[in-house]
Amino acid sequence: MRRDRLRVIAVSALLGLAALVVWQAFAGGQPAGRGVPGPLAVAATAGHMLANPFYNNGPNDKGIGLQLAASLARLGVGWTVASVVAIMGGVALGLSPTLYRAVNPYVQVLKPVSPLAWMPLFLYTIKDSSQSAILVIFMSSLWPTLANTAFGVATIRRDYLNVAAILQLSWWRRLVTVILPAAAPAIVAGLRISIGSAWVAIVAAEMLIGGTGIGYFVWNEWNNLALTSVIFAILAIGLIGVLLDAGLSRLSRRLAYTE
Amino acid sequence: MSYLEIDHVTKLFPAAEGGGEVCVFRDVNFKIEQGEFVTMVGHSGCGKSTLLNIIAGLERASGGGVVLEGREIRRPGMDRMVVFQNFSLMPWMTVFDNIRLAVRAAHPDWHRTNVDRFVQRYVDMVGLTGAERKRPAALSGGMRQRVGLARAFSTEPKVLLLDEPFAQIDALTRGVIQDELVRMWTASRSTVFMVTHDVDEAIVLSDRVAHEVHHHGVRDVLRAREAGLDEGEAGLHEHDEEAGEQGPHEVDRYAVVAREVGDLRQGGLARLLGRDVGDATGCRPGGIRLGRRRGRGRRRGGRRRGCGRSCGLVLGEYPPTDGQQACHDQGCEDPPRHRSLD
Ligand SMILES: Nc1ncnc2c1ncn2[C@@H]1O[C@H](COP(=O)(O)OP(=O)(O)O)[C@@H](O)[C@H]1O
Ligand SMILES: [Mg+2]
Repeated sequence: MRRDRLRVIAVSALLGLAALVVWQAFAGGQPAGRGVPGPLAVAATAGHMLANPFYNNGPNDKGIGLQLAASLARLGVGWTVASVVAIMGGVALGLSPTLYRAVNPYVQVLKPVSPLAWMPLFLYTIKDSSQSAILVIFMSSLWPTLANTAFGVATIRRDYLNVAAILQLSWWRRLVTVILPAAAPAIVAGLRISIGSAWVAIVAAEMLIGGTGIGYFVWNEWNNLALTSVIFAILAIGLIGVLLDAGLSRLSRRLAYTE
Repeated sequence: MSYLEIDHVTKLFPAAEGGGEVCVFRDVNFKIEQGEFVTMVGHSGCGKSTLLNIIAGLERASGGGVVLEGREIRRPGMDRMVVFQNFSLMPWMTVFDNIRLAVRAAHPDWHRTNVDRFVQRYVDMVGLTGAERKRPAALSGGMRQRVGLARAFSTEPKVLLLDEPFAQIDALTRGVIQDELVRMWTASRSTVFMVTHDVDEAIVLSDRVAHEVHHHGVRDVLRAREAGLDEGEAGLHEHDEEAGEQGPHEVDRYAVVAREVGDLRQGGLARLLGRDVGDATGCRPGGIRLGRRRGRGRRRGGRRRGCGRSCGLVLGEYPPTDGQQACHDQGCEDPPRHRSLD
């Protein structure tokens, strides 16, 4: 078991190293200022940016830490509100087969719509780009949690609901002591998918709205032709995505149960 | 008026294919007095759980009704607690929290420390001290059912409904927990209705009462047992006469054994319960056999009869019998063949 893990780590490290070497060789073979920057250049930029991540020199020049924080704040608001709405809606759908079947066609139509497609509508109606971005996050986090919650609640074992009925629990206690814990594994699975797709969507949304955020940062650095910054931002986005998922994965382990 | 009356209860389910309805049982009719322990035995899939769920209020009867203390049962309530075959504990809660959920529901006005002390008492009572913080998944089947029993008894229900509570417990543990059940029932004096597919289990529990609960009805229980079920109505009559004034109504546990198709003894249960002979027990297309059984020896093929007008409980296998014919006459479809949902 332990030896297996060591082997995996070794292979993983070797592959990473090989990729870096190939990348550096490829970048080094190009005339300076024209090709893709190599890992050494990116590392230099990273060191530079991480040395002072939270500086603020006006709208077009902010530290990467500030940009990421802005994106995470948007994500936090949009995703949290969407999750609350989706869980409440999902519980209602899951408890009522009629409602579920009545609402399902609309959900099916809305689900495949890219959250960015809503952007013009939001910009037109609320006339605030930052809030529009939050709404885009909201739209992108809504459906996975809604669908998973509805499924989780609909498939709660009859026995648990029977016990709740015999004990004559009030609807609130039934919700918090039986329905939500019983459906929790499914709900958290939905939350994980949601936060992933929201993090994907936010980069694009911020490229469109401008101002702040890691998406805007990427676009801005591209306009400055600072490709090392773009590559470093890509890595940072990926890393944050992993951390977000890991957090929810811990939550899901906490809430998991065996029957 | 009896304490708990199962009054001509009929249950129809929508047929799986091709519309129509399937009759699970029809006109089940019997009465239970306060403090009694009544067991009903029937094959898997014969409708025991369905009947129990109707009494619990989890399911609605298609006809007839259940009356507890003069009031018709329409929905589940704290006065009737169920112990389920599959335990039905909340797997995300600890043992303690499972029982506390019930105690809090029974006593919403109690202070937290009070509730906890009460819960602990029941935890100790079923011998789970030290396992309070465990989740059900970490317990054996026997321990889980102890939690189930503690949860049910902790609400101090008027009627306890046991749905094959020992079916998923290994034989050695089963005996111990059956003892615990008897002990708790003796202490609480709640009314118990148990269903099981295991004839021996019903008999074992009945036996134990005969030995452990000393009251003047015991002699009659033993006498009835000697007469045995297979002696037929004559035997039961004999028993009635011999019992004399004391009569079997002082007996407080009955195994209602319904096993073989077409083996219906209408009114048998009523006679056993010592009241309302005549219309008291309706039963089934197929059959039901009522009465206490004796020892391990099991004689088959008692006298068979069609069930005539008051046709009801589908308890048992399903080769067509005149009983089933009677059911057709009443416009209800074939009973399902031995399907079990449990
Ligand atoms: N919801 C249902 N819909 C249709 N048929 C059902 C339903 N529940 C139970 N049945 C049928 O009713 C019969 C009795 O079931 P059940 O009460 O679970 O039997 P038992 O507990 O005696 O094993 C079975 O044949 C089963 O298939
Ligand atoms: Mg059953």
